[in-house]
Amino acid sequence: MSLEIRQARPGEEALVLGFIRKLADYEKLLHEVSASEADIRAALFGETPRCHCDLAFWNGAPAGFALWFYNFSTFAGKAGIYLEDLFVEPELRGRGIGKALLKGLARRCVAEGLPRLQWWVLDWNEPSIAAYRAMGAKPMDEWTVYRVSGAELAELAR
Amino acid sequence: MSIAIREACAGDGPILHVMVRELAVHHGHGPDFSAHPEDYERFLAGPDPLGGAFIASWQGEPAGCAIWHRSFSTFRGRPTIYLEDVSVLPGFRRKGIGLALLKEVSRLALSRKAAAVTWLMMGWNEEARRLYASAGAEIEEGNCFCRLSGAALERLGS
Repeated sequence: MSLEIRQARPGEEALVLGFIRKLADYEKLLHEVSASEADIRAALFGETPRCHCDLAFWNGAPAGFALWFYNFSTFAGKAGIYLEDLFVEPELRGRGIGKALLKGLARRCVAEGLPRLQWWVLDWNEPSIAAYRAMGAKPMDEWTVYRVSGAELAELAR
Repeated sequence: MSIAIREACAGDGPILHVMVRELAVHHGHGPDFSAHPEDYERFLAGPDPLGGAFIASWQGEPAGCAIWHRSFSTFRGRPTIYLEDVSVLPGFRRKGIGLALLKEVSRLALSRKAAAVTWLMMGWNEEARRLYASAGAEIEEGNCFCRLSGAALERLGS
């Protein structure tokens, strides 16, 4: 019984995209996934990487991932970590793999002097919300998310 | 009446600091505001900064700002723009400055081939809600925003 966490390496785009698709499927949003392996390769391993990915392996087999990037808090005047995706294979849940991935990011925040680790969770995902609360994360209830994209984005930019 | 918008550059730290502090105080987050003017200078500096800012002037007077940082959609496999703050100083509100700043950020998003612009709004802010609706933005329902910071972050990261 062993857990290993390490950064994703070039050549593992298919594994990362597989996890992205499994997460989307769990969230009932698979129809929204249009990313390709080339997109993921460019974002993680391109000339100017935009994201970072930690992979978890349980007894040597791929078990889950955390995909994240740096953001900036204007109130704190400091960068922070934004966790875009966190996923653990359903049959490997309950072993602390998700918590270990989050703990790795929390350690990075502390080591790099970053005051915040932030992420979104779907509001029906009660098991995850309960786990996050147990770790001390606070749900920021008073915030509403807005998005402008597609035709509306082009219209606004005119 | 004239609005002029320009990209923030080196030396704009102090004015951004004034504008973001005003936003923090206006939303009752004064005690959470700990940024210094130099923090914004550092944020804007370097060959490939995490993000940037626009400064709006009204008849030559600094009137507001928008601060953004890079973000990424794993579902789309494309960059997005995260709008951290839009601040319009008291005395310059209701002149279309907020919408002009949103338009500028949308143009930036299109020029960077970003799939979307996203941001957060305090739930009670009706004035901002009307502005965002007029900009064509959609509310993303069903999300819960989580934050790990302070003692809880130290604990998980130890």
